[in-house]
Amino acid sequence: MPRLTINGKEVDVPAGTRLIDACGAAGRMPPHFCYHPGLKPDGNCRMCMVEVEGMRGLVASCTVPAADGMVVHTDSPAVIEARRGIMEFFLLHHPLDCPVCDKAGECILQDHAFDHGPGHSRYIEEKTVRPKRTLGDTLALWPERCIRCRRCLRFLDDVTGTSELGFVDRGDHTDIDIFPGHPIDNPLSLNLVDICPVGALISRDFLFKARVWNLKKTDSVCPGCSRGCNVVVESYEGKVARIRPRLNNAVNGHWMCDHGRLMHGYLDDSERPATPRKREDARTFNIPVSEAVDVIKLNVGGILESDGPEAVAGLVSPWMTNEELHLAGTFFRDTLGGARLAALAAHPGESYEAPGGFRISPDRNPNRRGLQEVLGLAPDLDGVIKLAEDIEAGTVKVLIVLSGIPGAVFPEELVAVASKLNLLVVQDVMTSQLADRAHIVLPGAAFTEKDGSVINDDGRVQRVRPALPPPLPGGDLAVLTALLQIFGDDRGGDSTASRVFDRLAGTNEAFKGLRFESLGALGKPLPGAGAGTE
Amino acid sequence: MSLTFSEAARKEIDFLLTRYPNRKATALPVLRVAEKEFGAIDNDVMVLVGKTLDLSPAFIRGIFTFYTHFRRPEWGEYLLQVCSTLSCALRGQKTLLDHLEKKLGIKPGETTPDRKFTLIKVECLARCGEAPVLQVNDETYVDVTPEKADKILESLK
Amino acid sequence: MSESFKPFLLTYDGSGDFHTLKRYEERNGYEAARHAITEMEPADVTEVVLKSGLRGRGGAGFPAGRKWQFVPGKDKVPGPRYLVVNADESEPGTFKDQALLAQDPHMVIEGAVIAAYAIGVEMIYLYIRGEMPQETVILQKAVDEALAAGHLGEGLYDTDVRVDVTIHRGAGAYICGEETALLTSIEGDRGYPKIKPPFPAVEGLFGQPTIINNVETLANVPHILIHGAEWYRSMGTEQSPGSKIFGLSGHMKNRGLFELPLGVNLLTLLNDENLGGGPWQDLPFKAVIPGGSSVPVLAADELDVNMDFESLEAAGTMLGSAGVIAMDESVDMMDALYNLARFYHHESCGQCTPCREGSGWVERILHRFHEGRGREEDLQLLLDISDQMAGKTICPLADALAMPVKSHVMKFKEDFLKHTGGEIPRAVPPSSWAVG
Repeated sequence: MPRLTINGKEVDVPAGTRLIDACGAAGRMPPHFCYHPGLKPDGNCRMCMVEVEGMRGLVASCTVPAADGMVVHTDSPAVIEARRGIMEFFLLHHPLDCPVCDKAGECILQDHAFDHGPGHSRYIEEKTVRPKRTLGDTLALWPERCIRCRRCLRFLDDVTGTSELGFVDRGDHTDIDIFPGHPIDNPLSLNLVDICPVGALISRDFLFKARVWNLKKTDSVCPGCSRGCNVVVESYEGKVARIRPRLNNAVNGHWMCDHGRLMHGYLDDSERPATPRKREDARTFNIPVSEAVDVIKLNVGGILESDGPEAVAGLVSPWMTNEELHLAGTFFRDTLGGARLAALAAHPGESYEAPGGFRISPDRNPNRRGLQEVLGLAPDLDGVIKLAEDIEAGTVKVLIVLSGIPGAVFPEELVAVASKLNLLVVQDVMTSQLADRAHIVLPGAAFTEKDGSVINDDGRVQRVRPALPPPLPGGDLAVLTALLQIFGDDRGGDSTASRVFDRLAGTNEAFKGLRFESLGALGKPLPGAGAGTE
Repeated sequence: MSLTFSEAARKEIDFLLTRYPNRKATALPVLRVAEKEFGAIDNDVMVLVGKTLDLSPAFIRGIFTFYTHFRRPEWGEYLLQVCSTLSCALRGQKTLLDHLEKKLGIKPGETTPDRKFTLIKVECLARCGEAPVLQVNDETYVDVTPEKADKILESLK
Repeated sequence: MSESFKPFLLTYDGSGDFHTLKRYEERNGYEAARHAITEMEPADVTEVVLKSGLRGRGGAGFPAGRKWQFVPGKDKVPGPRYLVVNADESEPGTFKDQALLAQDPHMVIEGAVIAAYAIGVEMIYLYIRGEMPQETVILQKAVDEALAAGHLGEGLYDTDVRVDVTIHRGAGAYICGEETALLTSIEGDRGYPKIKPPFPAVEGLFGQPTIINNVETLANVPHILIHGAEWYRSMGTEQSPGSKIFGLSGHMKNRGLFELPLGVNLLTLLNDENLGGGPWQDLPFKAVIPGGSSVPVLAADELDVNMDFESLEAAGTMLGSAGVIAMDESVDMMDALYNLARFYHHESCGQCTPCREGSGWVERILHRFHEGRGREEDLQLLLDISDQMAGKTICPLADALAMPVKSHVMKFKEDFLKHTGGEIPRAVPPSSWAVG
């Protein structure tokens, strides 16, 4: 284990550590632009230079391996002088259009200019001017802001292997560009906006939407597929403005895919149910939750008496959290004495494997594993069609649907028989043909409004946190708790996700030893879910 | 328009692939093959070279635009390259350049209307002892006085 | 100047077939290569070159034999080794490799073959600049001749030694003369220099141990093998043995290439009637660049210095490529610097910040001087920019610009101040923000 002396302090680092990371471990990460821990080091920005005793001049710490015995000075006068000079060079042709640049507030150039720059420029010549342009459906380029750090090229060469971007010309004429007619088109394109240290590569989705210092940041996971990439949901004035990846080396590394990033659009849909509704004949009425629960109690209670629990069915989905699934299972199987449970899932999509090692799962549901572990259920279209047949035959008279899948298409067979039911309850994030036929519609929480946990396809249990309040206080958990209580089951009790999870872990072998509060920011593997996923 | 290499060019490229341990290393020589085959490197040629070597067209364009010597499609039949670095600047480069500008009626970077001559200033051509130096396509001329330049232009008519 | 010195690198007699194998057989004729391959161990060949003190002739002056010794053994690093001949001669004022390639290509090839044998190389890449198409043709013909005659290829001289040559054309980039940029260019990419360490001798072309040698360096090798290290050391100085091709250009009477032992005095080189012959017109010399444009310029009162590595270093400049550019009193040193700044700005690859931005800045400032709109404070600014560039980059192109800038500004201040006082235009605002 190499031991270095950094600014007078001794630091031990693992063999193979880069000097820049060794300095970081010593609490003094050198400023840098082109270095990125998810990419191969390039050493071109020259901002990370430090002084190493015995080595001539200054060295770029991102390209030097930390060696035993090194004596390093990260902030000597020579280093500070060098940084000032480099910053002055960077800003020579920079348009300094921060007032209109999306990156302001999270711009590495701004930060380092403030911390290390000279504070004024001695450049009085003409600045080069280059027109902005789009690079594909997701990205736009402001080339005057580009600092030629090559992070974007390195990403497209080594992670996606698609190389849509290249350099053009040389010297200070160097620009990045796509080849005419070959736009950037890969599932990970918006990661380029994250890694661009300046506002050169811009997300067309987020353009001019919000100032980043106004964004409220909430750690969560992406529901786009079963990978469960760790994300930060950034919201502003009650809306999701942007979703970005969070580093988790056990799941997604530094990246997330465009599909997950852009799937917040439906949240702004004005068609989203906002309050509970009751339908009587052709008219619908907004009603309070308590009335909705009463109606359910009345109808379900009656059917239980006359036909027994086999006449009641519930439809759940792998978009529900572990806690919601647990309470649903308790309600249908225990409280109602054996009602039927089936599950529907979002349609599969294409799987994707980036050469640089990032996966998109074809399973477009965030908690199929949770459905399996908590309820022993798997989504089954055939089972749902069988359920529809039973509804038509009259053997199932009550159906309670707890969905939450954006854009879910309930099978035609089910929609067709909906009017046969004595009671149809649909709790969902979107309207649908099925919801139009429901007697009771409950506004479901979107994934960004849930508090709880889900399990990814590696068996990792990860926290979902609410970035915005759900339509109903307490979210779907509160609705399920109310149903349990009204049927006399006090086990719902305190319906916080934390308590529900800990109760689940206490009764379900698969979750043995886990506690909600210990899931942390990066999640924990299910016991026995494969070594080394910690 | 989808270009393809001729049989002869393909043979050259196949031979080149035996001289280097991977495809990417043949990029510069293959661009020369394409230059000879198609006369100049334009977007279609870059796409073809990229496809041939399994490299993205953006990458090929990066190589093409980095180097000054690959033939650009906008150049005329004869590329007049006037060395303009110090040793030539000290010994008659300006006289030669002014003469060519006046004679052809174009400025450096421009092409005559009949597309016969393109005039450009280039950097040191490594014949400094015999300045001024003029390269015309692949021929090098040294000690180029205005009179000598006239003779050269004559021979190209 | 030693009367007994006979040039052995430049022996071209003006005949039209001097470069052919037939004529080469009358000179060295690959005897040194044959001797080395059939009668010496590779390590012994390296030892001879090391003992001779031959220093790189491309500009850096690193001892060639010592460089060859950096190549690790096959037990440490398996796989092929490569020899790259750097024929990308582009340093302003330098034109010696062009002559060697055009006139005596077989001498260069033979030197490369001997080096290849010493290091364990089977494939030599000869990187020749794109702007030398005629020399490329000559070289290819020579390679074909050597192949046909058994001086290249499989089983040389009835041994199992094999050496092959691939000629790789550059395409117009001075930076590709920098050894690691040259490697990047062969590997099929924009000519960006590589981070060192690792050094090419350990991890170079395609990740394998690689030696890059200049054309003139290799041209010396057959002679050293034939006549011995002692003979080589009998010429030149203790620290700079051997002979050197000096290139004279600019304002002297006799321009051209002169092969002389290292250590010849610069004033002699410039003024001797058999050498430079003195200033070409009535005006005396004002400034002389001794080693290609990437070294500090010498003022008229600094010309009494010997042309070898150590003496020029002591005088605050460098031997570099020994491209001597003389300027007389008619030359405006600001304009001379402007010319060079344009060169370095044009040739900067753009990979790292200080050189990419600094080279453009320097040229723009000097352009303003050229239009009579310099400011006195720009002189200090030019020096500051040079300091902000030098030593902070991946390769020494930044230093190559910094040295002329500093030496011109400090030694010829008046030529800059002459161009001050004009109106400074307001900088044009960039298009992306509106100004009222």
